[in-house]
Amino acid sequence: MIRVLHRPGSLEEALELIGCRENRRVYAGGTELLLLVKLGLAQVRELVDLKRLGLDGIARDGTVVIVGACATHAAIARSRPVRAFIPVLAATAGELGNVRVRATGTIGGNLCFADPSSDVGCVLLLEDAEVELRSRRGTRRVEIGRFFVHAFSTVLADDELLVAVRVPVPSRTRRRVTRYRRIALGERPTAGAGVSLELDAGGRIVRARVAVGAGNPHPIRIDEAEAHLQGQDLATAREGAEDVGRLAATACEPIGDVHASPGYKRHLVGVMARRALEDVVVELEATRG
Amino acid sequence: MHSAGGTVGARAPLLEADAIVTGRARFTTDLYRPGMLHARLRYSDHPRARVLGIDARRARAMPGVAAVVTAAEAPPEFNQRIGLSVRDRRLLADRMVRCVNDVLAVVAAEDEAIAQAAVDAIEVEYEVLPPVLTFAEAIAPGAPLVHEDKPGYETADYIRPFFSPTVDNVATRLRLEVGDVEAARRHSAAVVAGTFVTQRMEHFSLEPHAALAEWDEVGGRLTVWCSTGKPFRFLNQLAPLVGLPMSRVRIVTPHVGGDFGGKGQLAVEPYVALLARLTRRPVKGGYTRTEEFIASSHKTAFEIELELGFAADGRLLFLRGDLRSDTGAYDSYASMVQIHGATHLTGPYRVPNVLITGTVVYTNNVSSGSFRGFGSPQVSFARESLLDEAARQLGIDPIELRLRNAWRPGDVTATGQVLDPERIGVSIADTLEAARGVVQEFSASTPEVGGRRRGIGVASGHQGIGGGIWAGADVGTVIVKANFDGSMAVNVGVGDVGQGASTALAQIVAGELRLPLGQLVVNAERDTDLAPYDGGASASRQLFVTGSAAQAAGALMRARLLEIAGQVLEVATEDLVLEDGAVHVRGSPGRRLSFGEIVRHALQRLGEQPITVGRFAGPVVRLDANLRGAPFQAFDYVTTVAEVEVDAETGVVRVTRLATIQDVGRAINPMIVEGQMEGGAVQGLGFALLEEVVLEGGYVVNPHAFDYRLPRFPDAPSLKNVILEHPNPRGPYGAKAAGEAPLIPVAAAIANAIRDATGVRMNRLPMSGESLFERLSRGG
Repeated sequence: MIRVLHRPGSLEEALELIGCRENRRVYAGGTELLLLVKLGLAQVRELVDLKRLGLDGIARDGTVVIVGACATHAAIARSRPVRAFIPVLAATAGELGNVRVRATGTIGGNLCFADPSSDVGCVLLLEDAEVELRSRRGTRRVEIGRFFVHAFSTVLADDELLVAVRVPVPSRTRRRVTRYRRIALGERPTAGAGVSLELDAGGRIVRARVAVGAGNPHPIRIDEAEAHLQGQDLATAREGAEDVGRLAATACEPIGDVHASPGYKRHLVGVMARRALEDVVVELEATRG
Repeated sequence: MHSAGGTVGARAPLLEADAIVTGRARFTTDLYRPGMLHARLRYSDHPRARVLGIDARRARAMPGVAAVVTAAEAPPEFNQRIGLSVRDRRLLADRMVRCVNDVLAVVAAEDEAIAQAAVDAIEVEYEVLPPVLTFAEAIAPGAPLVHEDKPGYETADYIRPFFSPTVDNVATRLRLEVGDVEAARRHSAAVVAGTFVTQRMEHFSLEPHAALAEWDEVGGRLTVWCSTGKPFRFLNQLAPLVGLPMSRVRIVTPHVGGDFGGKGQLAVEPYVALLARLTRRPVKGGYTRTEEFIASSHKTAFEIELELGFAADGRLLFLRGDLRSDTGAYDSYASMVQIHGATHLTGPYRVPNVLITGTVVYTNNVSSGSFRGFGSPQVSFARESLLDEAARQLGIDPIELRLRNAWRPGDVTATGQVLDPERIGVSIADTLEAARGVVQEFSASTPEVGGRRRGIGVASGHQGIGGGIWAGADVGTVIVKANFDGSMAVNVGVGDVGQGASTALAQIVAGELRLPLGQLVVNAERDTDLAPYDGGASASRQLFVTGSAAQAAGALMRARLLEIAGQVLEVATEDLVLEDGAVHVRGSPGRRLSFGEIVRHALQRLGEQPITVGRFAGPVVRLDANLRGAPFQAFDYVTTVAEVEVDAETGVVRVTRLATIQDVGRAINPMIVEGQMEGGAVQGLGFALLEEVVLEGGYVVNPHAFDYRLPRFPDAPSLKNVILEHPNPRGPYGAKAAGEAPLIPVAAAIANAIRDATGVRMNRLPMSGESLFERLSRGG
C-alpha cells in the first residue's frame, strides 16, 4: 500500500530521494507502476513523483532531437520536431495503448519499465537513439541497444534516473525511411518489428536497421538481416523481404501468453518484419528523385 | 391500437442519462452509512481439498477487525445448502472445498485494507485432493466425486425431473424427442454434422457486485442495498438465509451498472448481511474485478454435437443434437441454461424430427451459469454454422435455405408450443427478407484487398420471451399515483440495469395519459418494501410483461380521470378527450379541467387519491420432464449479416461491418433499441473472436482486463441497425423485447463470413488469430 508521496521540485532533490530506500519507486504517468500496485504485483510504500522536474520538454538541438523523459506519448505524437525528423516515433507514440495511456504515460516510464511488448524501444533502436542517465555520481549516455537487459530489466542503477532520450536527426543529404509494424491481440502488442533503410545517391542501401520489439523479451536488432540488406538496391531488398522476415523470426525468443503461443508470435514477428521492409521499399520508391 | 400521444416511439433520452454522464448517479459502492465496516472474503486456495482446520486467531486479534466468521460461527440457517437449481452449495465451506471460489471465512473490519490483511492472516490446513477439471474427466467411470452427498440433495421443483440422483458427477440430464430421427435420416438427401465448442465468458459489467447491509436492532429488520436487476429474486433468496420473513428484509437497488445475466444470484449480499447482524453495524462489501472473474459465474461453455438432415429441396428433415456443459462445482443456472439452449436448438425453423440430449456435469472449476441469451448464443453458433455448410452442399443460397424452413404462423416448436398468430407472431422470414438487401449492399465491396480476404456471412436466431422453465406465469404489476398538481408517480419493481427500463415504462404510461415525460417520475431506487413484486430484468421479459402492466395502469388512470372529470363537468365521458395534462369537452373550446384540478376535486370531494394498479399475467405451460410445453410469451427474431476481412498470413480477423435486423414488435424508444442492438452486436463480436476466461487446473489464469480481451472501440465495426416492427398482439403497443436477441447470431454470422473468405469452417470459439492461422496453414 502506498503511504507516502514525494513531489520533488528539482532534479537534484529527486536524485537525493531515490536509491536510498527499498519500497520507494519513482513514477511519472503511473500507467505501468500503479496498475501493478493495484493488482498487488508490486509492493510500494513511497512514490517519488517526477512530474515537477521540468523533464517534459522536446526540442531539436543541432543534430539530435532531445525528448525529455517525462514527455507524454501524446506530446511526442504532437511534437513538431519529432514529426519532422523522426516521424516513426511520432506515429508509434500516437498509436500506443489507448487515449488515456497516451495522455499520461511517458517515454521515460515506458523505457524504464522495459515491458517486453513495448513498441517505443524498438523504434528508438531503429533510429540509433541514446538515453541519458543521471545520478548524483554524474551523467552517462547509453545506446538504447545496451539499455535493455531482459524483460522488465535495464542497466539503470538504483540511484539513477533516465532524464532524456536523444535521437539523431537523419542527414538531409540521404534518404532514410523507417517503418514499424505491429499487431496487438491482447491489451499489449503481441508482435512488432521495424526496418530502417537509408540510400546513397546511387540508390544503394548504406544504412540498414532491422529490429524486433514486441515478441522478444526486449528490443533487439537483427544483425544478420541488416548485413543481408547492406549495399543492396531497393529491388534486391524487396526480393529478399521473405528472408529478412525469416531471420527476424528466427532470432527472436518469444514468450507465450494467453493470446498467442511462442511459435505463433515468432511467425507474426516474421510477417511484421517483412511487411515493414515492404513498407519502407514502397515509401522510398515513391519518393525517389 | 390506441395512439400514444407522441411519447411512445419517441427517441427520448434515458431519464437517468444526465446523472450518469455527469458522474452524479450513485451506485451501491458510493453509499456510506455511519459506523460502516468493510467486508472481505477468504477463498479456498485449492480447487479440491479436505479442510483440516481453519485458524483465524491471528486475524481476530488484529486491531480494527470487528468480526471473523467461519461456518463454525455462522447460524444454522446461514449454513443450509443453497442453489437455484440444485441445493448443493454452502456459503461457508467447512469440511470440503470444491473450487477456488468456495468461501471459508468472512471478515468485517474498519477499512478494506485491514479486512484484507485479516483475510490473508487466516491459516487454513488442507489435505489437497486431485481435482476434476473437464467434462470428460467428470463423466469417466471411477472419477473422483465432486459431491459425495449428491443423491440426497434437494432441487428446485423445475429441475427435479432432470436431476441425476446417482453417485456420479452428473448434475442433470435432458432429452427432447419429436418424431423419428432415424427414419428421417434414411430419407435425407444431405446430412451435415459437426462438433462446436463455445467458451466461458465474463459478463464484465462496468459495476462489479457490491452490497451494503444494515441491521436495524429496534425494528428487527435488515436492509440490503445491492447491485442487481432482480431485487425481488434477491429478496426471495436472502430472507431464508438470515432466518427472517420477507417482510423484515428490504432490498434496495440504486443505480445498477450492468447485469448481462451475471447478477441473478446472490454474491456478496449474504455475507455482508451476516456480518451486519453479528456486528450490529452497517457492513459494505464488493467484488474486485478479479473476484468478478473468480467468485461470480461465467457464461456456460457448451460442447455441441449437431447433425442436420435435409431433403433435396432444402427442407429440414431432422435435427440430432447433444449438449455437454460443465457447471463448475455448483449448479445454480447452468442446467437451466442448457434446458433453454435445448429448447432453442432448432432455431426458428420447422424441424419435424428432433432428438436432443444433454448433460451437465460437476467439476472443480469455478461456476458457470447465466449470461445474456441464456444458451441461445451457444446453440445458434452450432446450428447456423451447419446451416451455412448445408447451403453450400445443397447449392442453395443461405438466406433462401433459411426461408424455406422458417417458422410460419401455425407452426409448432420442438417443445410443442403452437405459434398462434393471435398470441405470438412469427416474423423470422421478414428479418431474412430484409437481410437480402443488406447482403447485396455488402457484396458491392471487392473480395480481396491488399492481401486481406473479404467475406460475408449470415446467421439467424430467436429468443423466447419470459416464462422460462421455472415460472408458471409471468406476472407484472405497476402502480400509478396522481399527485396534487396532476403529475404522476409511477412505481415499479423492475430492474433498470442501464438498459433503459424506467424510461421505456415512463414512455408507455405517458403515452396512455398523453402527458409529457417530464410530468412523470419513476421510482429511481427499487425498494422491495415499496414497489410491487416483479420478476426483474431477465429472460427478455421486462418490457413485454411489466410494460403491459404499465400500459394497463396508465389506461386505468386515464379512465379514472375521465370519470371524475365527467362528474365535475356533468358531461358523459364519451364526450371528453384527454390532451396536454387536461381533460377537454369535445367541441367546447375552453371547457376543460387540468389533471391537477381533477386530482384536487377527487381528494376534497370524493375522499380519493387516484391510484391505479395495472396488472399483466401471461400464463404459460411449463416444460415437463420430456421438455414438452409452451413456456414462452412470444419470440424475438433476428438476423445478422457480418462482413469480415481476414489477414490470411496472420489469421487475424477484422469485422468491418455488422448489420442487425431485428423484429422488436414496436420500438417504444428506438434509441434504446438501437443501443441494445449495437451493444449486442459488439458483445457478440467479443464472443466470436476475442473473449475467453481461461482455466488451468481449476484456477482462472486471466482474471483481469490485461489478459481478458474485451472488444474496444477500434474493434467495433461499422454497425447497421434495421428495426422491424411487426406488432405483437399482446405486447404493450405491440412491443416485444430487444435486449438478448441481437447478441445471438453474431458468432455464427462471423464464422460464416470467415468461411466465405477463407474456406475454413471454424467450430471453436473464440476464433482467435492463432486458431485460424493454424487452420489456414494446414490448408483448411
